[in-house]
Amino acid sequence: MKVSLSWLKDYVNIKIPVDKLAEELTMRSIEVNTVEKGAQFDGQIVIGRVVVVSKHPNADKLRLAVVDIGREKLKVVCGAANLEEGQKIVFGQIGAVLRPLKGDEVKLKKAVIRGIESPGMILSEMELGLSEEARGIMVLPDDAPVGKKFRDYFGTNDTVLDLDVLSNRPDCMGHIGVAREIAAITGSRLNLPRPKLKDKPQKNCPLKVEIADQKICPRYSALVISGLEIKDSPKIIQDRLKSCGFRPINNVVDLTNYLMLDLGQPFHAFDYDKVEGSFMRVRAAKNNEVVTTLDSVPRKLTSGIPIIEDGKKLIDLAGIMGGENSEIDKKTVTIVLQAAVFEAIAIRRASRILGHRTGAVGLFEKGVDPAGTMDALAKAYDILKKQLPDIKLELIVDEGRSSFPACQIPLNPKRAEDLLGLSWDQAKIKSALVSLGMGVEKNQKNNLLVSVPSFRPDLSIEEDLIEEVARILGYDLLPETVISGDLAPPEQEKDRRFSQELSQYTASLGFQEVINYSFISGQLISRAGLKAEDHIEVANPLSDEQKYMRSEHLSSLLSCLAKNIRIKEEIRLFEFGQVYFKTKSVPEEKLILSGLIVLQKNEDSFFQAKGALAGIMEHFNINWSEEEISPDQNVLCPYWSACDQSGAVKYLSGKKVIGTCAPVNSAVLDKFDIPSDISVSLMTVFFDAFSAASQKIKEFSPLPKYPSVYLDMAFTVSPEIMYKDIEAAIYKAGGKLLSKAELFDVYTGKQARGQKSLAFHLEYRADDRTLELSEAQGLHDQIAGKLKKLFGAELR
Amino acid sequence: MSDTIQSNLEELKERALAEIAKVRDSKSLRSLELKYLGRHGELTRVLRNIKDLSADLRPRIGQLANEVRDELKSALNRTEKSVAGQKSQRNIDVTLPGKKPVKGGLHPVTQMLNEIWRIFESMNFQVITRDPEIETDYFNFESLNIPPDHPARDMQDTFYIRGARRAREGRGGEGDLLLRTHTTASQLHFMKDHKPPFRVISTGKCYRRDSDVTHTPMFHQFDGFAVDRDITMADLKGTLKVIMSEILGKEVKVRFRISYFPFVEPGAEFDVSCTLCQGKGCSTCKHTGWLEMGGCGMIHPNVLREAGLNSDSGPARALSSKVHWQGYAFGFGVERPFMIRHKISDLRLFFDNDLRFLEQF
Repeated sequence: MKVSLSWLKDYVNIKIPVDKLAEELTMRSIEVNTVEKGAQFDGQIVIGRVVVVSKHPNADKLRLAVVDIGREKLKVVCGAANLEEGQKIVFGQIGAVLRPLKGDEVKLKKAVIRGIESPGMILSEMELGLSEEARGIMVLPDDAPVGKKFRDYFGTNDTVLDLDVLSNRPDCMGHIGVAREIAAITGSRLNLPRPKLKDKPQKNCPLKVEIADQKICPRYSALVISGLEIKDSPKIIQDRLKSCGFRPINNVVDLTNYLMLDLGQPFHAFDYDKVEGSFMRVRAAKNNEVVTTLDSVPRKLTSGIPIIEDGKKLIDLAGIMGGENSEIDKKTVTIVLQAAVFEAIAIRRASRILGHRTGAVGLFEKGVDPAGTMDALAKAYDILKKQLPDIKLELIVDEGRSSFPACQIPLNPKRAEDLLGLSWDQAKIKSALVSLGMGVEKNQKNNLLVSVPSFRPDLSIEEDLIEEVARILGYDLLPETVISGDLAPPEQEKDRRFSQELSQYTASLGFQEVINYSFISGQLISRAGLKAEDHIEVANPLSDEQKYMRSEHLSSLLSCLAKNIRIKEEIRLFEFGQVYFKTKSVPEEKLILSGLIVLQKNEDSFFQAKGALAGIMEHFNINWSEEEISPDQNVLCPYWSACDQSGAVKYLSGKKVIGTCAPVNSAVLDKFDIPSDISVSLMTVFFDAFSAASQKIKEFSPLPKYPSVYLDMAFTVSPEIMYKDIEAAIYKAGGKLLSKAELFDVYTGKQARGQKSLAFHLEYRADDRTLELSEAQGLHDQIAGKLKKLFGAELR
Repeated sequence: MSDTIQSNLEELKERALAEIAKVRDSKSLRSLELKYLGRHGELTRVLRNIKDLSADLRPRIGQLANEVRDELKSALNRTEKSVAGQKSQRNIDVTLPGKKPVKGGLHPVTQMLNEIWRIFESMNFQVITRDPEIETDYFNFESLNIPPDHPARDMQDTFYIRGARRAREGRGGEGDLLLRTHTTASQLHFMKDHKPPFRVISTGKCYRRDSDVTHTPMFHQFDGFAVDRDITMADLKGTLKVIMSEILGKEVKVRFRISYFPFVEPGAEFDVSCTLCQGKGCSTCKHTGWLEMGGCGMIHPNVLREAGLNSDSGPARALSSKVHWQGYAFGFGVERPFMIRHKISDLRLFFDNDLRFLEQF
């Protein structure tokens, strides 16, 4: 909201510089976004008229204009495309100082442009310092007086503050409210005029107003005024409206805007002669009723939206926008000037349902003071009467509640001290509250009884008053103290340290953590081979890119990979966070860690991923087993179809799946624009099951007392025989004396002739004696025999 | 006789070792080897003469001579190694880069969170990280004194979940499901299950319908609250000063600016003195000398009452003597202090996941 400094000065004497004022307001009352200091126009800038436009002989984009500035005509060069004969323009004479918003001041000098002398310049809004950029020259209304100094014509040498009023402060939505705050924080006096309706109603124009639903409209006040003449507003009103970002239209419309900016009370003017049956009723709309608003948009209503009807038709979308059929026009002579109060929630809902927001909505939804309507109308009548002495007051309407007693709240200064950690004496507390328009009495026992006026609906409890005192006297007075008190040691969230260690450890294995949005697009879902309808959907996404809540990390990680693949060759990424599942009742959130390993194609990322996962499981002391995943199995991995169906494993602890590992399908990579000459594998940890499987305390195993015998064994088997089965057979045949079988080579190349060649280091040891080589060798041969028998293994 | 041979051997050993110790190149080392251990070497001669000794002396002198030979051999070996080592070192370009381990790392947000958790734990706060992100209207708004149709809901444009309008099991709340707009949603989850005094910090992802240089539709927040019998707004200011100085790595000043959050009263926004320009004014602080950090205040009586604390308080209470518990609350973004500390101007970089950004931290 924009407020004009000169307007504020009508009500309060501002003794501090405007920058200081802006700072004080921001700290204690209303945030000031910007201070626009009024443009200062040089006296050499005058209004001119473009008499003739002709071509520049030496340039295509430039033209020559003869400009009449009253006492003389000058021929100047102009580059603007919007230059036309007959225009009223702003002319800078030689010596004029221009003060644009950006950059330095410029003093106009005589210039020669492409061979033509130009004694001055036709100016744009940018050069005048009225805006940061401009398309072409500034064109004035036809009635702008030629030769007049622009500063005398344009006037707005006003300083404007752009405010962000807090949503609970409807009282600050007008100049009077802001002035009250300034008075309170600077210790100045507030001078508010108290207008009274002196004229007696003529009662020539009857009007009956009925409030059908007082919940929607607690108070309806209006004046019927006749003898109007629709014309332009006086300059001061026009200037102030412009300062606040409003376009002047005519005296009646301007008056309603002016008073809204002054008081924070929305006004509306109906053409009395268009209201049929001398009757108006405020009620809730029924479904499918239609009202066409001032902007010519027919609006279909739903039940409950506040409207006003006359004897025959709907004439107003109450509290939001007037109806087209009761709008004032140039012929209007009698108006119904309305200052009603519509209920905040009803207006807010209606505005949301209709998707239509106006300035009035912004006021009503915060809560307009119902006690102020008659004063507001008196002020309006006063202003109008000064412009049009012949108008007559015909009728005063005031329906609904008219008495709004102040709300009484007790305030205990001790309570303020307890809450703030700082004490003030009663006199200071009292003066702060009084400066804000409150009444303060002494209650029994040193307590204060505070009367809160109806324009402060935000104050309803003691704590609200304590805030008022604290902000007016200054939050900066609060000391900084150390929190103290008896406290049991806080309980730790289950697994949080564990999760912290998990991401730390994963990073230490060379994985870079990424964080992606939880939202993904339907397109990404289908690229990963999933179905959008299985996902939780955001009802009001910012874009289709962010329509669903992801149920996996893979598609996000592949998108990250596609982005980074040109930066780096070997990439390891991981993400640790929630994924979201649709269920029949409450959506489920699961914490998972997903890691992606990317290598050149001739290297196998799958075994690197498996190794990384094994490393992580060993680090966290997990006893696991692994199983190959058959293609039709659903293993808590919704993204399964994105992975190669053959060659994927799940990890189990007991019967619980704690993780998975799989190569990513090259067709899927292709869909993500990832070149097919690389190898990508994914590992996933299901955090809760994983954490439960971790034995956080490792048990010590005694060191061996006797030396081991190491023997190697290499053999070939047919390729379909699984390592897992061979390993199990070796351990079974080796019995207690075989302490470890470690695979150190796998070969499936040419020399293996279609077979798979495996080589093991076998370690034999006895716990109670030194094992003789011969005994170990016997066992070794026994294992070889068993492998031949079971798998047809041939020793090499 | 034997004593003479013995002392000769000793003398020979000492002399040889001393000479070996002085050698600096392998050539003179080889000539020393020939001098003592070669076919005509001094020690070889002694050994050759042992057969001439008497049978009772032979074993003792023989053993001694062998010991001396072994000792000289190993001295020669050691010296040779060190001489060779010196030589090869001279051929290495020591300025070549070392072999670095594979680089991995934590996301800046995780790094910041790790610090935040550490700081708050040191102040006896209980850390909550796993409250639901898909939240009910009740916990995100209603329980925090933001009833339906409250204008304050506009301040946090909310993402809603399609087709979800049902009770959330075991959580006592009912209403629309949404993506939580602030970690303040943790307050009632916690307060309903715990008895004061407590100090809590909740961190995690939050969502708002907003996207520009300083807003992303998803971001991280941390929200602290403490309840006890005598916690004051001055304590709040003191706490924030300590925390922000720790997080930003520099001693900062804290100031409160009037603001409005329905779940606190009195409420404020808090700023810290700009750490980049020491309050002199720079582009980061928009030439004000202060950085906006977040919102804070004293927990609103309606929130405490909703949590079942101070059930006898409320608008009807005449005097404040019946208030049992009071507390403070504050909340702010995780990314913002990181941006300030590392001079990052675009929030969107955090979620673009460009490795050239992430690997800098």
